Amino acid sequence: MAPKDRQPDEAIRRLLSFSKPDVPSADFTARIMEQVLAEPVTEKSWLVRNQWLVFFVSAAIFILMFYFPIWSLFGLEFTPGRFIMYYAGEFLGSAALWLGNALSRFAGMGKMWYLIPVSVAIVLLAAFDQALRKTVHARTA
Amino acid sequence: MKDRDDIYHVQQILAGNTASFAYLVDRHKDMAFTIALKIVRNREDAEEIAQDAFVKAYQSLRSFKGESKFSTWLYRIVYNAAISHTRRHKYEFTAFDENMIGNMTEDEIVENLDQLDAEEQSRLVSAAVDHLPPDESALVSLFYMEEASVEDISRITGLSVSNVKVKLYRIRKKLYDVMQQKIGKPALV
Repeated sequence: MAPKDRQPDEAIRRLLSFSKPDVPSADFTARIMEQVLAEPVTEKSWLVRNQWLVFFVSAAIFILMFYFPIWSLFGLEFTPGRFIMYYAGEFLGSAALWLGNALSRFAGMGKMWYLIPVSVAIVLLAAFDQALRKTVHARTA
Repeated sequence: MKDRDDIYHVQQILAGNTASFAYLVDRHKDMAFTIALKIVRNREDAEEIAQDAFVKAYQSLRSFKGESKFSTWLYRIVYNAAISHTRRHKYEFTAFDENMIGNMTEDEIVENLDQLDAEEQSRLVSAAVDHLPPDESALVSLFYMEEASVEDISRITGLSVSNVKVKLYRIRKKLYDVMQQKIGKPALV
């Protein structure tokens, strides 16, 4: 506020200092505690707190395992003495092949192929919504 | 120090010591009730709103991250509940009549008020606050009685900081105008 406004502001503050907050009825705290003691806050397990995350990750893994049963680190064999860049090159080559196979499986699903990207989009949207809500809540708290 | 006490008690509650919540209720019940009362203008409704807000705060205590003061977080719950209540019940209040504004300066009004005894001053100021719209009345309680910062009021009400500053400025003008009417000087506008 501008300096010239401060003096009257202090006057209002002084005048309001005579006023005290309103007081609720005498049994106010007791009534709240009665309600609260009936349902104590308990520490929820990690599994319960992240149930939706667990559900979606499990569902995603299930879908991937069902449609794309290629789970052996892309068939890489580790041999002592080879440079990491060699494995990186091998990995990228295998990953590209795996991705090509995966996409061809989508194509082989006919009219139903769009279900997987739609499901993934729904999951991502839900996760984004949750993240957004948490951010807004954290800002308001 | 008081804020640290609040955090300590929040941690105690989360650790299973539910009785610690009584401390938080006792410490904040008056202002929580005052905020609700200033908005809904009915003691029974205000008490119910404040009570529900405390229970809701307790139930969602885990979502309180300590990024603001506990009181700020609690008062936001109370404020929102009271505002929602007024929207649902469509309360009516007597609007401030700006045509009745007089021509005394703020200093003259304060001088006139100073001639009254403390009890009369308190009665006049309270009456002036009651003439404000519900949300503005709550703002006065928070800023002048609770001495909440503009930033905290912004968090409680959801208004921007600059909006809170503008509102407080206008509220102050309105309070002086209402007090001017009440101390009996004729309006010349």
